[in-house]
Amino acid sequence: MPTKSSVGTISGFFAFPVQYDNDTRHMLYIRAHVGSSSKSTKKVDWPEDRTIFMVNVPPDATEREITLLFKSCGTVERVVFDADGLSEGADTDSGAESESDADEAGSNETSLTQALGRKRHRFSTTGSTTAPNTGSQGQRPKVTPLPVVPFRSLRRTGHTAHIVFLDASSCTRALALVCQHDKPIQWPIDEDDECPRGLAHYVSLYESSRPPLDAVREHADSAIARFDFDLAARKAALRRESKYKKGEALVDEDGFTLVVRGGAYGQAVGGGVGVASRKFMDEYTKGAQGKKKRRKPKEGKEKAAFYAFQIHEKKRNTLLELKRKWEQDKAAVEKLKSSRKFKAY
Amino acid sequence: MKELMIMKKANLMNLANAGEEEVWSGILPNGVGHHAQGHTSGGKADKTPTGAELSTIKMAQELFVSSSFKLQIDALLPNVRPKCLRKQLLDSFLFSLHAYLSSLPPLILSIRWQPSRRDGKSATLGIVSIPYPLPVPTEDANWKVAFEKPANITVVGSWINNVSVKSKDDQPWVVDLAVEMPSGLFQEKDYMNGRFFHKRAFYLAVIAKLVSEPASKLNVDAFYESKRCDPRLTTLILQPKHGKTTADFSHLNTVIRIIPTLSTSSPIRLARLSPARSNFRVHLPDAVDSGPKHLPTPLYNAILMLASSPQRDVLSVNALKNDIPAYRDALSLLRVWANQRGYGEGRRPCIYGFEGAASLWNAVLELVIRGEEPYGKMNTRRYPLGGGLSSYQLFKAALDFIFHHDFSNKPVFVKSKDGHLFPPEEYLGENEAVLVGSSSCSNVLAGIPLTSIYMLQHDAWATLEVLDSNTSKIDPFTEVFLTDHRDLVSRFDVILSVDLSSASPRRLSIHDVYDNGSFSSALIASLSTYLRKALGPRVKALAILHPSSQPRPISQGLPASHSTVFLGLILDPEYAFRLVDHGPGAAEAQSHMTEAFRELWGSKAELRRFQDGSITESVVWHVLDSDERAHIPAMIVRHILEEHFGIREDAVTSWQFKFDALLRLPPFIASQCRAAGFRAALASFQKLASSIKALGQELPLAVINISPIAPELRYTSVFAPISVPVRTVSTPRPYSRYVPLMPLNLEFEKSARWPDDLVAIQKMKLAFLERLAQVLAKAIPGLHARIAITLPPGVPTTADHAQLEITTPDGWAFSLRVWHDREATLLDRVLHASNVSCSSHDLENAHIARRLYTRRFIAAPLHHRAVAALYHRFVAFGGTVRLVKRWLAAHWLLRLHVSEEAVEVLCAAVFVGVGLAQVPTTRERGFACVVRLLRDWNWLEGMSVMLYGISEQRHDTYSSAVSGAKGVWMLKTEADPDGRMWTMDSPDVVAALRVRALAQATHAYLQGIESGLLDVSGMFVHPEDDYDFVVKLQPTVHPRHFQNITADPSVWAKNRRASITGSESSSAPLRLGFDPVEMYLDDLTVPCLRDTAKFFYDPLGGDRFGGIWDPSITRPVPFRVMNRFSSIPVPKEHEKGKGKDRNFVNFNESAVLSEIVRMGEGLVIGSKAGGGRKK
Repeated sequence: MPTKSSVGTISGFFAFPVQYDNDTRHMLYIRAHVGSSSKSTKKVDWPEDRTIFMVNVPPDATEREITLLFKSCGTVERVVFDADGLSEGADTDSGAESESDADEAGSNETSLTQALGRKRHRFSTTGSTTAPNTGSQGQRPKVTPLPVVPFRSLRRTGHTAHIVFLDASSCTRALALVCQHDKPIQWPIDEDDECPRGLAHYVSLYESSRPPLDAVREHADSAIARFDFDLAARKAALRRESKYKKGEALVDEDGFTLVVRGGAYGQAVGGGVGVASRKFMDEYTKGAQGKKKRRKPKEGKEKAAFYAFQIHEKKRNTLLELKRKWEQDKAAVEKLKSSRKFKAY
Repeated sequence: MKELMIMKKANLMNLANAGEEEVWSGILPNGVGHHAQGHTSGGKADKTPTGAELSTIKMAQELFVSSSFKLQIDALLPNVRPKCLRKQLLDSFLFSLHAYLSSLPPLILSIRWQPSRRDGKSATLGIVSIPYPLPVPTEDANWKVAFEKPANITVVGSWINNVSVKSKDDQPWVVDLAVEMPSGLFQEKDYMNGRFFHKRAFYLAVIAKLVSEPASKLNVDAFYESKRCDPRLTTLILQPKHGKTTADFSHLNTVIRIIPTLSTSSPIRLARLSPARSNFRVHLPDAVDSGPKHLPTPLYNAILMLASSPQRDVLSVNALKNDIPAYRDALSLLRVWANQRGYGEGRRPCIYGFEGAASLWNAVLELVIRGEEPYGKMNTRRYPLGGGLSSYQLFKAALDFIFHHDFSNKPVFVKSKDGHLFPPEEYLGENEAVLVGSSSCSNVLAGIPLTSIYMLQHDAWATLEVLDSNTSKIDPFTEVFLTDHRDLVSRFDVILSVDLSSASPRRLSIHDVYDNGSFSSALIASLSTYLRKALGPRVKALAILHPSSQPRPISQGLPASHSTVFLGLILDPEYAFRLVDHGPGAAEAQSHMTEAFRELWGSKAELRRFQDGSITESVVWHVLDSDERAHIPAMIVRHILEEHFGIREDAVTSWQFKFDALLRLPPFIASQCRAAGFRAALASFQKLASSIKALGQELPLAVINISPIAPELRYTSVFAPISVPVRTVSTPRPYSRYVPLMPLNLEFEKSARWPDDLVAIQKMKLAFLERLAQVLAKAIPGLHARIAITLPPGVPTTADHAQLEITTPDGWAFSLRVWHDREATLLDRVLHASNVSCSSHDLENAHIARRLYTRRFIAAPLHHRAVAALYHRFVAFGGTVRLVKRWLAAHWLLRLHVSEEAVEVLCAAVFVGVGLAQVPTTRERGFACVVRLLRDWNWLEGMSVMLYGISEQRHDTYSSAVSGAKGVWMLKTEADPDGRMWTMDSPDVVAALRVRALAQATHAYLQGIESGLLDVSGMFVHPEDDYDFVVKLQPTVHPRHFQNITADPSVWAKNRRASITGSESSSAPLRLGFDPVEMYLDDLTVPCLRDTAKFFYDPLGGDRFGGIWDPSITRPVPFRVMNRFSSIPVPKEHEKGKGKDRNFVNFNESAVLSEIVRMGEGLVIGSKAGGGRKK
């Protein structure tokens, strides 16, 4: 542990130590955000002049703590932890969850159009959470979220974050602050104690994952209502788009539902009967053809023990096989022998 | 026409093997004659096997199990035989010894010559003590002891016939030298009262004295050795000194044993030595209970007979060797087999009675080869086997004889040319097996108690089972010949160490002592008889074990008796644990049977009236619980030892109680609960299940099935399940608050109305569970239900995440999840979609969800049923699993590294994979077997366990194969051919190596039982030296602290007001299944420090946990944004040498440690970085 608390640069980052209540120092690396010129399109464009990119964020850091850390430099607009973008499961019980859920509703359909649709939805999710559902009539039901207690989410150690300030000057001030400090900066302590650590954190996590039954019912009912609404809306949209009655089940005169794969007719949207996947169908048809083919040629078989030479040949082969096996066993035992396995004791 | 045929054939041939065309084209010019010979034709000769080769191959395949078995035998045998090059040096020494012995002057002494006997010491001859056996000759004896040069000196025994087999533990080879005492030294009546043995002892002492004198120039050390601690069998061992003489053969690890023998022309008539004769007529005034005057002395007679037989034995073995080519190999195999199982000599405890009984194996093989001498109508005749058998067949036939023969009732006589000296009736002694060889007239089984014979039979059975089994799981050769089976703990169900020094047997006549040669032999013989009677069918076999006798200095006349012996019991699960031993009925007039019963059981025997109306003598064993029930056999042994031998409780050590304590909750906790125990939990589950099913119309869909998947409900959780604490008695404290939730799966009837969407299904489940909670709470008063939404880090929302937590009115806690099989289809659709539109993230999530689904809803219930069935099939299975889980937990491996289900499968391997003979019947033995298995298991080969039994032909299989699985164990079952279901991510190589090292250490530790110093709890103390850091947890806030192996009662005794924070008062609601330490460790392991460290902790209330840093990060690396660990720049001065523009960073160990402590605020007391591993 080096005692020197020098602020140095490393690969263009300012490295500076922060300190919790004890002596150990945690290094943070920051630099002004530089917009990437590469083709990573899905990355959100951060405002270049007022964003700081921070590396090696402590795993238990919260947005509030980082805001407090830079309080002297200016107001922080928002802090985005990059780890959250990678795993969506991190924020589990929040209300935002049901939003993204609804957007993924169509993910089970395998057809290309659906998948594309989903992709579009995903894209819009990352931007903002209000999905414009222009095609549907009526009011889209709102999902009642489950009650949420704020708690600290723990992320991978050494992750990164983008810190967006309100104005560009605070950004420069922040970088300057870091450069000037030759003592470790004290990590701010959240006095409000909104997000406890350790045991208290686990207690609140335990409690918040067990919401009252009423809330669960409301949440479940509203989520299902939402799902039904979306389903109906999609059906309606499909129906409008096509001159065929796409999305409607195809019913014949006897009242049987015809189940057909793909195409414009009778594609069962959302519910109803699943149809065997195309892969399976392909295999099936291939298999049927193959069977037909196999049945035909019978002449390939030759009588194996007709001529005397064949019998001899067979005998000889068995003997050779015998010997081969013998040699094989011998080699195996020799190998074991060399590993001194046969020293009984 | 013929020509045409050949032409056609040749063409076809060319087509068939185009590669060998040029060879086969040779046929045509040679013409017709050739094709008849077929493969023997010229070009092929080097490839096809020759006749000789062929016959070897065929022989190997048909006369042995397989050709590889034969080859392995061939490889083994040279290793257990003496090397040829030893013989020359040895021969020269033997010549000089012969010359020296033949030149010795005679010496005659009166028996009165001894002055020092009065003061209780043994008689001496200079510094050499004379090993006079009992009864020590009295001073007024009117005969004399004498020495004269030997009449004849010959090499005898296995050495001269070249059939020696190496003995265990690097004991030296032994060359037996028969020194024939001149006939002139003996009188006709010397067979009486041990007089022969006194003369023999004197003769031996003189040789010992002379040989060890420097004047002899032999340069050897002399020792006495008495097999079976019997002074009558004392021999002289000559061990070469490391010396300067040319005849030094000390490096050969060979000793010479001098055996004084009786010449055939001696005045002692062999006919006097019939086993039915009494040759002890000592009339001692104090022998009150000697009963009838002249009891037979079979053992004494047999030993006396031995003195005359060595030469005859040599001849008969030689004849066999010449007649049967495979005899020598078969004998070697048999003796290797016996040595590996402790029927011989060694430093570790061996089965009593087999020491020095090498001729036994000879006799068994002789019997198999020569057949049985017919006599009377007493038994069916055993026919001789032919001479053309292979060594393996002979070996197996010998085992077969040993296993199937009824030794206790039927004496066996090997067929001999000129009949046997004594009629068979004379051999019919009590408590003794009889096997008489063809040459020696004595019983080779004399002195071997029946219990040891039964043990031998048991081992023969086990071996036959291995040889006959078709499973490829165990290599029969290794199992039979190469593995050392003397390991006490994994061989016997119950082991007791008995200190015999305090023994004062109630009924041991002086006659018994004289017949057995020494007090301790007589004691053990009588012990064996009593225990056999008392345990009866409870045991399959019972063994008395002791380390074999070692040579003693010649200044010590009598052998030291066994002070401590081990009793090993192999239980028969059917009878071992019954509570009552029934004796003869009261009504019957068999007073002698009643008397015998009362005599056996002493004060325990009582007359009882039973439910069926019968009134019988009986013994009832009182036990409190099932743990204690497993101790009944040990209780019986203790009782018999005290009753008949005056051996008090404290002289008998057993280890069962210590193991039991590991699985028991502290009494304080037990008293807090309303109910506890597996049965109570199961009953509660049944009740809940039936009441849920009875709800019927109140639920939208009918409930088809509720399947438990909790270890508590299949008898395999470490602790018996407990219910919610009684709140009225005392408020539950944080440290005792943990109540396990027992997971169940609920299956509704099929319906088409489920949404066809993964997320919506989860919402629907929520709705169902909510409804169920309402309805249940209404239907059963006192029941509490709560919905928990548990999504562990890294699990997507498409996976099942809702459970209903139910507390039944009687206080049991269950968690219920809904199984909906449509989920699998939907997930598979995502996974197998042919288009590439799914993002890798979706695929990953679908994979996780699918794996969770298979594990929780498909594999777990199947596994649960199979394990529960195993529990009912094998008495010890549940206990074994619990012990092994406890052991792994105590060593910080359970849960994070080895899942509970994996442990269950592993433990099943020692029950279902082996033959019936080797199934453990107590948990201690099961534990030792699992430890041994883990020690030897090469996990690269995987392990297949027939968990579901053969009877269940059809079962669903599921695939658990996943590319890039980090776990290295493969535990294959019928349902899981890939063997990855329970070992997907863990244990990885690091953890698996740890498990193996742990098993090795534990196995070595268990061997401490041989010294009697085994401390069971020591096996469960985890060393912390090899961790990079260790973090100490606060026991007072740990809800599972009471499960800790060294749970500190003071935690709940004092400190009653322990509360963590202000909000956490003791009146806080009870949190079912709440384990903050588990959550904390999960957080550390998965999301936070996955790439930085590996964590190890004890899920059962461990108060510390440790971790090791990933070795790849402990050296400086270039700084990168995505370093995935907490770093600190390398100080500049260190960096200079590198001279690169890359900036290097170090792993910031102290920062990460403080992170760990910070995240566990309230739980953690402190941390320390251990210097365990070198950086």
